[in-house]
Amino acid sequence: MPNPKRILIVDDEPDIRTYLSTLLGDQGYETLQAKDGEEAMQKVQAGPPDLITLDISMPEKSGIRFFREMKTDDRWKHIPIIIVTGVSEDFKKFISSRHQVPAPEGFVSKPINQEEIMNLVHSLIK
Amino acid sequence: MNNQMKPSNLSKPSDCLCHIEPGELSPLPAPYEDFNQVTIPPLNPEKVKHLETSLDDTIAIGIPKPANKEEEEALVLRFLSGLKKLFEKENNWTFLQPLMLSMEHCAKCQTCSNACPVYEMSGRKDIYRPMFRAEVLRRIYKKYLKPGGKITAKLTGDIDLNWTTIARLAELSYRCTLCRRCATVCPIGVDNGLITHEIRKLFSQEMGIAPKELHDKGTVQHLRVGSSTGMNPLAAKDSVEFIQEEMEEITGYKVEIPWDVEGADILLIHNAGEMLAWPENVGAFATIFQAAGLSWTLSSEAVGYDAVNYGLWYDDVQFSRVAVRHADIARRLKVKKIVMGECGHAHKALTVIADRLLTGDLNLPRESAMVTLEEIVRSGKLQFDPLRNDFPVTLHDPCNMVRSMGIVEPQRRILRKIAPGFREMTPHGVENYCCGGGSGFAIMSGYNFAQWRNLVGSRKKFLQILNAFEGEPREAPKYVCAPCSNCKGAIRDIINYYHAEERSRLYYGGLVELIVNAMVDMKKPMIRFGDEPSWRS
Amino acid sequence: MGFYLLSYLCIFVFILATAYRIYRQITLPIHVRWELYPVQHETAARAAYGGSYLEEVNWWEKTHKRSLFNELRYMLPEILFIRGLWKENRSLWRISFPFHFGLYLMIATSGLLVVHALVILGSDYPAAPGGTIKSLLDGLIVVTGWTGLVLGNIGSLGLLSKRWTEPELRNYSSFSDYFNILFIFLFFVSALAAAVFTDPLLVGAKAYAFGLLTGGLPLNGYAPGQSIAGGVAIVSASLLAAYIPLTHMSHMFMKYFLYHKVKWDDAQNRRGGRIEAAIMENLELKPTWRANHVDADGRKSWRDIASSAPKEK
Repeated sequence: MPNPKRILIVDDEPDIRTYLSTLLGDQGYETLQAKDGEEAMQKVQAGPPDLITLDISMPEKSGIRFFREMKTDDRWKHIPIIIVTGVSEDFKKFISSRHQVPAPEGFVSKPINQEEIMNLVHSLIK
Repeated sequence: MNNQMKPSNLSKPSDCLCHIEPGELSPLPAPYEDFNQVTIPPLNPEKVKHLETSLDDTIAIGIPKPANKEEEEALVLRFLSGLKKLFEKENNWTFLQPLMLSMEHCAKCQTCSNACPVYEMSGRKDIYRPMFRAEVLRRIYKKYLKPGGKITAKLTGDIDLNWTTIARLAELSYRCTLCRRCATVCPIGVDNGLITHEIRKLFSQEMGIAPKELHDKGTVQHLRVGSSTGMNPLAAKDSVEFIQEEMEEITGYKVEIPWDVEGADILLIHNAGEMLAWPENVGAFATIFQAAGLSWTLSSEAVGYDAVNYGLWYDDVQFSRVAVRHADIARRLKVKKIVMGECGHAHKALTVIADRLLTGDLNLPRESAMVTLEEIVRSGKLQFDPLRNDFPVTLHDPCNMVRSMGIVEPQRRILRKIAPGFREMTPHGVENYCCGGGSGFAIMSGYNFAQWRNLVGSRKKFLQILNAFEGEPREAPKYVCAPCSNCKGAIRDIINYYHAEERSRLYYGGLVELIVNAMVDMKKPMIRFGDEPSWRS
Repeated sequence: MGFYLLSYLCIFVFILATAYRIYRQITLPIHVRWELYPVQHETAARAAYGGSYLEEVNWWEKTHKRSLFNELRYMLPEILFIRGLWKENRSLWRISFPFHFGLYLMIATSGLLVVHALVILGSDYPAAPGGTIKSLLDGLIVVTGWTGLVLGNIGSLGLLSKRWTEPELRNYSSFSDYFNILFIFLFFVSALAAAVFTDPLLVGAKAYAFGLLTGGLPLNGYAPGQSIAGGVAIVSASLLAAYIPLTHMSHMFMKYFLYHKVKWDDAQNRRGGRIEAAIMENLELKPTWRANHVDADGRKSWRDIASSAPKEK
């Protein structure tokens, strides 16, 4: 593939990063990894990805804070974000109904269902 | 159906010991008659083929089937070793005396059965009788652990112990919400809810068997990440920040939510589920405390921002760990008292049960938010316009707060002052019925358990709520005030399941939302019924 | 003399079994609170709706007002008239009440019989004493005795037939449940037969009680076992006294612990107090639960485990 789409995987658990990286890499995507919201922001600033998978509970900077910063910054708000989290089901409704931010483009509960996340990724970056 | 069910049937092999046929559940009134033929949808055979499903129409734990006879026998022995430990002070000093008393003095008079909403609503299925599982445990204990038990069992009540008995008993301990209504009516004082609690403990503490919502995603996650919601401290703070900002939009009143203020008078602990599912509740608390000029704080330390203690429902060890963390956080923050937010089981866990666990400087004062709020409302520091709450309101009594703690009147005195449309359910107070979400059920929804809860466990509450609003016009919005996160979860689910918002215009929420809604300082209403504001400015 | 020996033996068993049950309860470690409201020693205003001292702001700064009067006002009708059952299970109460009240009257009669014997011993035995106290006792014994026997027979027969005919009781009953009621019925029916056919004034009972207190001295030429019914009544009453504390029927007195040590036990743990000391002892106990997350090894105490994190899987 000449110009592969880039996906930033943000999660504090190395196992999840490796799993998603392998899964997405096998589908021809280029993957980047960040272990928390802080590092993720640096990666975005270094070169915006085409899509982000985002964990919520992380040290340094939470996924919520990172999501909020991304979605309120004109430079980055067009980048689709799939929230991939073990936080309870209520979180989806919570984050989708906040006045300050738009709803996330995708939402996947852990443990990750491979088909579910691949379908979402494909539909968000054609 | 089988009307000759006996405790000994629990060990007889069959695919399904107790099945509820359409039409057997207690009937619902208009406009809900279409639900009267509805019954629990069958489990997906593919999904449960490796699980123990032979008790009834649902599963709460999902116990894997043992691979072979040897494994089964090992599990039976493990069960017996756990049962023995329940009666040893080294292992069970926490509940030994109550357990022994309840095990030894039941007269099998069945007075408890009529008090149980699950038994009554199920169409009076024997296995749901409060004393059924207690009698099974009693028989196993006498037969297998008492000297000469194999002989005396012929006289005092026999039962076979095999893997089926055990797997069913484990599941059966999750068909009771531990509401303890049965215990209040027992003429002798026997507590079948307690025996259920002890059965759950045996399975968890000895065999590692517990619903994943309570253990893996519950207490384990709570202690590891900081909250059973899965939110770590940063995520919790960032979530609350949203609601802090939104409160000004909602009510026109700006709030600051203080975090980790050392030496504050009050450490307020919410059920963290509140922050995600009902963030307005957290905002309403902040509004009231700020307007009343209290010195208060939230904690952002792991475990300190989540009042839940699921250990209360199934495991004393996990219970102790969470309670000690809560107390230790308050101790290091040097607060004068902990105030428990609107969460019933957290109330009982930290205030009453942990009272005989916390010693020295860990034993610091704990107070119910109902009491703190009443003091504020009575103090005159806040001005109210009760007419802003001019809609029908009824109050749900969380079992843990009311029947198990005797906190009955403060919330009522508040409602009488701020909600002219307040009316009681029948019965209420310490005689209330459980919401159906007690003892963890509100957060358990694997397989088809949520349908069982909505159809059987919460059915009595639904009838009570409808009854409380009888005579009100259908189109008038009605508010069920439930000052407990788990109760709210269960009530939310019945409203959705029975389409009660569309059919009866039922809404629900906590107590603080009603208080804020009536505060004169608010420029806009806190409570909305769908798109409709509860009052106009 | 055989009757007396049996009675002595049974009374001895009764005392031993009762003492053992109570001893076992009072030596158990303090448990966590598990009270259930209404708690009747609360002030009358609170007990009326089931409130507790936890309803007060800063409750720990206040002395907890308790009302013994209120507690007794609740307990008396509960014990005497089984009020709980009246409220919650009326159809059962209709037979359970005569059954229990019959038993209470039998206990009361036994007490009166002992007093009667003491009065005789206090006078110049063997001359039969007279006087108002004696006449009063004679009258009371006849009234309590007869009422108790009639109620007891109605109650035990009623309980027996209800347990046998109603599926919700029958399906949960074992041999011993029927045996226990039959046993009690045997006493009631034999004692009633003795009273009806040979001894309407309960002279035999008075003489037997006198004999029990005096190692077998005959009163007015009495010897136990003159009628079959009377003999059966003595034997079954003696055996019952020994049997009841060995079974769940000990709820007669164990109800004290069910209520006062669990249902109504709302005592707070105060720093430096007796309860705290008992908890500290408990926290040193070493559990052996085997689930992984507990992480017990038989050396770690509850205190160690409660202040640790669960073992990761």
